[in-house]
Amino acid sequence: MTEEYIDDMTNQDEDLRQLFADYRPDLGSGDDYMQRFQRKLEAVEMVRQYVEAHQRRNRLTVVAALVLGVVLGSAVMAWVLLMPADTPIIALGSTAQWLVWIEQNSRLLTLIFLSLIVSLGIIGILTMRQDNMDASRKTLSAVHKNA
Amino acid sequence: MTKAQFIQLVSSEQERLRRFLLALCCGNRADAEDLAQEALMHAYLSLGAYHEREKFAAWLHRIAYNAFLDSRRRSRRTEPMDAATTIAAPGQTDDGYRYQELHAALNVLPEKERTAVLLFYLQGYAVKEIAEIMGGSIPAVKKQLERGRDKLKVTLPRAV
Repeated sequence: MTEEYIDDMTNQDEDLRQLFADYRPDLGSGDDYMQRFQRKLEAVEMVRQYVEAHQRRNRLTVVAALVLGVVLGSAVMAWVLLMPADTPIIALGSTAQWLVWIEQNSRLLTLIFLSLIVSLGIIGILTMRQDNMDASRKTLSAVHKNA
Repeated sequence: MTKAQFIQLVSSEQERLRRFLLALCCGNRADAEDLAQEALMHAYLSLGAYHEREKFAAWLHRIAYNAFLDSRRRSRRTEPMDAATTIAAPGQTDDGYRYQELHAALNVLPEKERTAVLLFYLQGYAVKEIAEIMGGSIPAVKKQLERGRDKLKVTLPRAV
């Protein structure tokens, strides 16, 4: 690079710096802007507190349902397992082959049914948690875009 | 950082940020004000991610730049350079006409070059800081600055 080129670039740099130093568009009153901004901030804060309170209530409901489910499920499972092996869980008193089969395998079927309920419960909890997170994200995003 | 501290910092930075965004949006006040609001709200909601050791202004500029890129991705409108030089933007005052040539010249630059040029010449950030704000490398920023400067030399021959 020649000295002339370097000098030219340095001068252009200074010209550009001066050009942007002179860039002073009218942006209106700073105080007015901050007053409007703080009002919007209050609105966002209100929504955020509402969403957090809603999530806290949901969390309590989920924990209560979980505890109840564990207690009841354990109780039923214990009852099933403690019953004598030769005693069916349900007595249908029928001679139909498929009903006899259900009666004979009622212990196993009850355990499978309980496991399905537990699995569905876990899926429900996880889905509700994800829905809550998505809803709070979308709500806050919509508020600060439209405020 | 508390809400009061955040408001105080915003109060000292808002004018500089809004000036930057107005230039970045090539004089479109409506877009610039929307972006400023979006960036400040996003900053408030992301206060948990802000590290005190990081400069607040640079962090704010990074959020604003990302908001600008998001808005560009969402937008389907294109404004040809001729329109930028001849048609007044909504709410444009005499002020807007005064900087029309500069805005039109900035409109010619691709977004990254425009951002690099404004962060360097308007906001006074060093190349390293610009790389952090734009999430790029130092050589890439230098290249963008060089290209941006060369293009402005062509479109603003009287000023540069």
